Amino acid sequence: MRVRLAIGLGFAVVAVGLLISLGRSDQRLAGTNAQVQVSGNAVPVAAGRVLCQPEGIPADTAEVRVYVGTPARVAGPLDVTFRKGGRVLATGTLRELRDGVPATASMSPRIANEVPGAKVCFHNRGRSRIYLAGDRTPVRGSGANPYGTVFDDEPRVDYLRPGRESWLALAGTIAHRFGLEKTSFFGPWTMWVVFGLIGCTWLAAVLLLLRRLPAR
Amino acid sequence: MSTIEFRRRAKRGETGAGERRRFRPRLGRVPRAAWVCAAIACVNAIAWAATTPPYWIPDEPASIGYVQYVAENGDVPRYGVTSDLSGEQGIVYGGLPFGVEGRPAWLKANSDAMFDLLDAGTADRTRPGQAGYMINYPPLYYALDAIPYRIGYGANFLDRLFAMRLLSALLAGLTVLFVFMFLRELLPSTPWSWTVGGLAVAFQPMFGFMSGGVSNDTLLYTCAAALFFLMARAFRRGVDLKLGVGIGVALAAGLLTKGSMLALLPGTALGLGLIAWRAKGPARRPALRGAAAAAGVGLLPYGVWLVIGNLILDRQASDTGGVTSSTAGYDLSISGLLSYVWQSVLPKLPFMADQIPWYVPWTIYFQGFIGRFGWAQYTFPLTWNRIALGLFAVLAGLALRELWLSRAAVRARWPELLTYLTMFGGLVLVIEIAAYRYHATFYGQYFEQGRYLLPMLALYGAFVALAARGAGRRWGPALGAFLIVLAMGHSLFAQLLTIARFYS
Repeated sequence: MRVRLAIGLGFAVVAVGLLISLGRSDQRLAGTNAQVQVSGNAVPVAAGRVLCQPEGIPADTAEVRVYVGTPARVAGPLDVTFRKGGRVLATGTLRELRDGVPATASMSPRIANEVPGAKVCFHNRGRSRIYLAGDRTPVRGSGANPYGTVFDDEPRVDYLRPGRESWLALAGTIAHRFGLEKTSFFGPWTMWVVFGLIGCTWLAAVLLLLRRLPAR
Repeated sequence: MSTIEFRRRAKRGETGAGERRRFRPRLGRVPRAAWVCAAIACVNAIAWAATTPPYWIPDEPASIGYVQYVAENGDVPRYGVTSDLSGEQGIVYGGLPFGVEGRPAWLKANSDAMFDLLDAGTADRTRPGQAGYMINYPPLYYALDAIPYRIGYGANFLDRLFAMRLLSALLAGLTVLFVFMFLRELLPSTPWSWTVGGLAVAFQPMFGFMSGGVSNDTLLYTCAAALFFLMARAFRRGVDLKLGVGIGVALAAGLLTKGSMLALLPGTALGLGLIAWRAKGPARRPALRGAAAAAGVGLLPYGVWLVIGNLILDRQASDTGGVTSSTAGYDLSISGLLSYVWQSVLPKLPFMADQIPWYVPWTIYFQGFIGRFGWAQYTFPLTWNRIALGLFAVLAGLALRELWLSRAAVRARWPELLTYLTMFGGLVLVIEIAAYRYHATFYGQYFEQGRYLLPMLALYGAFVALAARGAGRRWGPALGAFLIVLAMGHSLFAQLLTIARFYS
């Protein structure tokens, strides 16, 4: 009886933790080109200049976020444009850019489906130079970049989904991502199979505990 | 006939040879619970293998390179070539794209393009430098992992990679099997505690994470767990030739896997010496023979490997052992080493230079054991680690209580306890010496990681089992069950953390 109660209590603790974690809402990424957590390099965009880079635009992109540095108190505006084959797919503008403060622009219209082979262009319409955090060079001297190597960075672009979502609401999207780039036979189903396997280990463990542990 | 009755009759010389032969397999039989624990660990590691994206297990790209080189050439990689990736490895590296702090792209087009390139079959499969910095390590794990690679030879590179990961998952099952058997020898009077300890290890998240990747650490865990089991068996039943050979095989396999196994040698030698010393009369000769067999079988293959490495493969013995790095610098000193090792476990003394900016046992070992995943790169929130510390403190109290209550047995078994403590201390010392060399060479970078303690999984299982026993006869099993459900939750949250890190 005590063992059963202990197992029940354990599951209650885990369930509460799961509900709290999975139910938490926040704005989620649609994608990013960043290979760093914090960039160790910056890409300058001089006043009046346009900078373009090749990108695949992920599905469900409603906003973009860039990480800005500027010698001015306030810089910008900085126009952001998604293009493909000379056609403009979406535009947005970042206003009142401040040094060290990430900036987010709403893109109009929203990108519903993935667009491979596109371009993201930044047009600095302000009077001061803007630095955009790079996408490839980790902080120099950090564990991820002990030799202080500087890569050929492009500006880091985080693509954001619209609104705030819980993990549970995002589960289908995560399952889709989970199945990519692993094996030739994985797909969106794989994540659910993994959870199934975990469920099997739990069931086996509980049965083992009930059989092997003295009931009182 | 019960075991006890059999032993009584055997003591009186009343058992015949046939009877002994019939009884022996029963003694050696592995309990079904051990197999279930092993299967759980294996399946859990498969779940990890499917969850963590390729290359995001520490050192996996170079480890895969080593395996691919062995599988393609039937030979071990040589020194003196620049680190490189095979064509297939390069496609995946660029296609993911891989960066220690990054995450794979979530674009279907990206994934399809990468698979198209791999499926075209035009990329080369081997290059001389593809083992990269893993070249220092002995080849046993990589040679074993070449088997699944060869089985899936016609398949896509990423499919072969997944097959390689499955071998590590199998090894996870074997590790837990040995941990269970170790606990059976260690705590023979409470069979339920074996299950608790075995399951605690099976659901340990860092162990699961590492066992889901291509890494020689996984075979090291297996060899270390096997060594603990066999040493415990030797303490319980005395060491004979057969057991000595078994200990030697575990040692040899570990040494041919990773140099960290050298850290367990002093403890093993001490243990075998104490067993032989305590053996009285006619029992001493077989004990000495067993110890000699362990030393011979354990060290000879490694010695042969060092000689071959030096004479034929152009490897220096120190590099081949995996104890040092070929890139280690020379700005080293004994005082610097002593100061570093001291500061890694104790507060800095006034005359010491401040070498470590954090408290290693807490920041590195404890938090790293609770979970620091990827390339030692993402972890649970600090609050969770503090809660875990509180829980572990309670468990430590219960384990100490159990040791106090069993003090008569502990006193009688001091050689065994001393042996395990020496094995643990030896591992920490070797890690810290390597860490000092790394720190001095790589401009103040730090080397230690929680996962380096995982060869001590058998002791972790014993810790949890002892803590459960420490709750007393009434509450012990219930506490054990509660802890295992928490361990299951811990494992699940670690997987969710990984999913959040890479796919959201």
